[in-house]
Amino acid sequence: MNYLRPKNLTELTRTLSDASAATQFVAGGTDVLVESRQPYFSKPQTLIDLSRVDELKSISETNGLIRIGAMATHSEIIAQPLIQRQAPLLAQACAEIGSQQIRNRGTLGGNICNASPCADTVPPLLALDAQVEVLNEQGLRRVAMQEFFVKPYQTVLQKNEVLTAVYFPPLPDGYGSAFYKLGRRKALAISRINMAAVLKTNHHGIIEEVRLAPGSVFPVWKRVAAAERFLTGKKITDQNFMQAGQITAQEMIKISGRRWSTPYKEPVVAALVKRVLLMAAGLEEQ
Amino acid sequence: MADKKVIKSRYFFEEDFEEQLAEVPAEKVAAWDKKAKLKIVGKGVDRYDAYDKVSGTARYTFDIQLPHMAYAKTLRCPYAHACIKSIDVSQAEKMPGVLAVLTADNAPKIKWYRGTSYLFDRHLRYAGDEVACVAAKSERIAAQALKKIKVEYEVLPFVADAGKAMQPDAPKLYENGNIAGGKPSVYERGNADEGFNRADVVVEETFDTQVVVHNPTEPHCSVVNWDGDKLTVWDSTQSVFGVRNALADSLDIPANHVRVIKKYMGGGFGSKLAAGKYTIMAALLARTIGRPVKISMDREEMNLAVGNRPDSVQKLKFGAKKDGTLLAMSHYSYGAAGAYPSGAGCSWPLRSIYKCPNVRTEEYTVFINAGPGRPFRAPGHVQGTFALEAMIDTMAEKTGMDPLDFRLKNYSEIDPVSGQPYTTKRLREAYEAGAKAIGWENRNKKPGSDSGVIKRGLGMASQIWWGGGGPPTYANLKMNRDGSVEVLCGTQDIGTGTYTILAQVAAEVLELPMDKVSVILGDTAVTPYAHGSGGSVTAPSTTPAVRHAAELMKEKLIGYAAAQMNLPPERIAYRSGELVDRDNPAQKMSVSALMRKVREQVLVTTGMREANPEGYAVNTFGAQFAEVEVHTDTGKIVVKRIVAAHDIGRTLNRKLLENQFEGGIMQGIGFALMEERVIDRNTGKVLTTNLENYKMTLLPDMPEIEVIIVSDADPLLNNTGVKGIGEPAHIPTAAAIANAVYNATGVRFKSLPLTPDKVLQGLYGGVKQG
Amino acid sequence: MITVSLTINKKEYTCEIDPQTTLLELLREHLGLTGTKRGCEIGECGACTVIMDGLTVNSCLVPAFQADGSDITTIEGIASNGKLHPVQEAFLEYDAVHCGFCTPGMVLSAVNLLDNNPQPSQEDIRRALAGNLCRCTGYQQIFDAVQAASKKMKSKR
Repeated sequence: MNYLRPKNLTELTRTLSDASAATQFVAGGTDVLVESRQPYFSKPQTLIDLSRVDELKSISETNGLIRIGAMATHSEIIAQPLIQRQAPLLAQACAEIGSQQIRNRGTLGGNICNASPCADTVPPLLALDAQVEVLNEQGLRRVAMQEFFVKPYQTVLQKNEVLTAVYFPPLPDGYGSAFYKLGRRKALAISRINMAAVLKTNHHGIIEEVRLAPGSVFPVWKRVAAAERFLTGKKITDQNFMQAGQITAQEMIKISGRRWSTPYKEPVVAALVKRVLLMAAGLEEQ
Repeated sequence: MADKKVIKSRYFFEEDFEEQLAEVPAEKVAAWDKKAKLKIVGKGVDRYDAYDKVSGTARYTFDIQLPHMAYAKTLRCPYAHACIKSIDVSQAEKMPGVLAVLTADNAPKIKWYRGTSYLFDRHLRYAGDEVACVAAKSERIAAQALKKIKVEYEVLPFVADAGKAMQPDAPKLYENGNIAGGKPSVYERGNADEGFNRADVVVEETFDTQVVVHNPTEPHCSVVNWDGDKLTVWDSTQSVFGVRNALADSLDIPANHVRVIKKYMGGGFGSKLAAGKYTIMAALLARTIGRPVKISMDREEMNLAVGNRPDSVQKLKFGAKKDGTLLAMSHYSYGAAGAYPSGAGCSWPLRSIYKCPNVRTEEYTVFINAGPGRPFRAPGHVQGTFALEAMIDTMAEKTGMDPLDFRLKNYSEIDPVSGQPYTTKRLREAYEAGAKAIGWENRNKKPGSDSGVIKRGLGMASQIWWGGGGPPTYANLKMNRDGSVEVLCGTQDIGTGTYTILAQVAAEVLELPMDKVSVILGDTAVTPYAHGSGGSVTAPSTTPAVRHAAELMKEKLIGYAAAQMNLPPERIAYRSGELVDRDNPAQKMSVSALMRKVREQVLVTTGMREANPEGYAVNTFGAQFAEVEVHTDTGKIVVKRIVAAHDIGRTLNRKLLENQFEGGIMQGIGFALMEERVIDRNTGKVLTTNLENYKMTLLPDMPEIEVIIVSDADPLLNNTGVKGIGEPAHIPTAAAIANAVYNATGVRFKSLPLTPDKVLQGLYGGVKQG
Repeated sequence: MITVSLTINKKEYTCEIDPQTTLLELLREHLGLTGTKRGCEIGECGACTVIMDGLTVNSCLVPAFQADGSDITTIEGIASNGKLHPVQEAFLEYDAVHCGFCTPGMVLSAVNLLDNNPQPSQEDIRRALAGNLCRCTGYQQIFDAVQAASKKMKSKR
């Protein structure tokens, strides 16, 4: 097995020319090592260790956008004042992942690229209108979060591409946001359903802008445009939030049909949408 | 006290009564008085083995490294039901680093599972059944070699549901069909039908509970080493003598050629009470390759193949007068034993807690194509108590009574099954203390009456178990020439604190500081016989044996001092480590001064557990009260508080006791809310094969817990007045939580675990549960 | 084979490992440091917790090659010169130990918490220990021990 350890983007780019299906990129290791024990896992020929690539670790703000390197760990994101102030829902989502030990190693890039339907960082990034940055031999390009996923566990990344960073505009003052995760236990629980929301209201309590991104609800992540349309221009009320929830549940059934989990999921999705909107509006505790 | 006799001793162990010939003292040591002022027993002294554990120096079986050690891994059947047509190990054997491979083709035909199967059976009855075992230079090579073993299976139809397995057309695991013993286990007293006829209120309900898996933090593991034809085995086991017997029988070697050692282990809860196939396989491999072998289960094997608590479907019918007097109870149940014999019955609590003259139970233990059950912390009682206590609450409601009052109304002063009096019973006190502590009067008078999304409720449940232990149990006590002692007992400390309590007892009797007492347990070559550590028998069996040994040592020292001081023994008293002339206290010797006069460096006494009192029933009792919050929008249940009030005889060490109770309650919360072995009914595969999918309780899930002990001691039972606590701690928790959920929501949930989807379905209607 | 140099409990080690080796295997099998335990191999139980470059990690999920150049503390390195750490002493005093298998991981999570947050709230303690599974104790005494240790360490500063 070849083991490569690039120290910067230039060296990383060089490793991509030979990358193939038999190449395994290693970020924090928390997903990869678990998968390597599965019977279907085939041993890679080349390991590319991303943990020493300088440019992948930083969190900064430039040109009006926040940039988070793909190798930033969940713990680092939580602790970053920039994120706490201007993208708190992402910090909240990272704070609910796994356990302290997992958060200290798990990376944003790993969480996104693993593309598990329960990935906690994806709904907040969707609600932040994020873009991911992809590196290949030709250089860097940006892809909107909405377009990055093909289906569960599959992104648009080719075998010789690496996710290097995530960009999004910081939430301006006056914007509320929230992340909520259902899960089956308080820690180490892969979410059954999670939910992210961003909300801006005017002085009269009328919603000017709303972004709603559920996880583990649709086959592939997307914002709930129908619910967002319904809410825009309406007043903040329990009832309106509940209706937005019902619209979301209906969308789910429209896309996926009625499945074994629908009797449980339908009311819960609606209730969670309502709850996350109330939290974003500051009317319920996070 | 030196005289002994042999009796037939009968006591309950895990699933059934056991009877054996047992040697006991002819004269019992007088029990400590209930109010005795003891100096070390009853105090919260530090745990004896805690230093080793906090410093990381405690060696568990998997930590043992021997020179030239090889590692073994097991190939397991991937199908729920199959026959082996052929096995080709040639590719595996050729792999560099592979040392030997065992299969049904080359292994001796060792009987297993009470004679129903073999170490390697060609008929495989569950996904996880052993097919081959490989020894290699490293664990990784052994695991890779498993993939190179080519097995041709004939896949057979399977049945993974006990109800279906009872049908005549179900796939059969055994020629005689899928019902163990071919018939149910039945019990009857009085006439249940007559009782129902006379009842004013009759209720029938069906309940079901899930399979849960022990999952101790330390996986099962053995290290096996041959020296010539003598075998030493380090095993993570709850029964060193049980493992030794299994090895001697399986390998057809004399028992004295086998030594089994267990010093530290990471939990068992019943899953480590019997010898594992892996130990025998490792011994066979080690003998073949002439090297020590280490074999450890991984977490998937832990969830497939080393035992579980069987599930249950229980149909209960109760009848009572309108004043709340129970007239009749009937229990019909079936539970899945898994692929091989194990007990699934759960009617004991119903038979034994409440006063009711007419009772009938009919229980089926059913074979299915899934991992075989093993005793799991109060087998049967946990699932049986859930259904029983839900019915009791239902009857209380139907007769317009408070649930606590209903239980008091049907309180039995004597054992309803045998008619015998109890050695002690303080269940009434447990009810009172627990109700007061939880604030029972604040209970919703009308279930579900809380407005708002989050609804609160209180519930309770009664607990009964055995926990008296019994003979035969031996303890040796050795006194060194400086007055320090060693206690040797063939029992096992499975984390419960046995080392500590035995040291406390010896220190108490001999008036020694704790650091002058060493305790050696779990070594078949060195420690005298004691039972396997399960069934809550350990403390009530071993502490009296140790006390007896210590009292004998005192007598012995008095005899030696008398001889040394030229006085009759009656003149000598033992006070604080000194032998004193009663009539002339200035004349005395310290134990160490006396010991220097003695040619032998080490004095030895052997203590024994006395016979259980005749004509008495021995039980532990308790009541747990739960306060819960039900989130009606998401179906989440949060347990806020548990009050556990129990009668367990004398408290040996309050700190250790609380630890045990909190742990039992923690497991009860897991049983109530989240633990479940899930089998895909289309393929027969277990889906919960790791700790991501098999959810257990973590710190943030824990409620406030208050533990109240309402007993002083049980002096009739044994000389230390101690009953066992491991199982009482766990039995009523889930039942109390379920009853609290009813009080919170007004909906009776009859299926465990209470996962959010079940709760929501129960609240809002919808698809059938379970 | 990859060469990995790292500091463990203030001593320096150099090992040759294959790429599939985890940090847990390196500690236990290569170096005989068996205080760190193997419980589930997928980061769900925390029995394998060690402190790596100042942070707790599940060593079963750290590729050993990523530990090159790291500073690791295992349970064997918590006591110093034979004297127990205040967390370990508190575990003894509050009987936070039962079978002991989860104990090394618990101690490391607690020590790391108090190193980074000397006056943790109750919620902080719960979060720090939420990744350490115990099947025996019910966690209360462990929690009490960590609280007590934080108070003791505070008064010593």
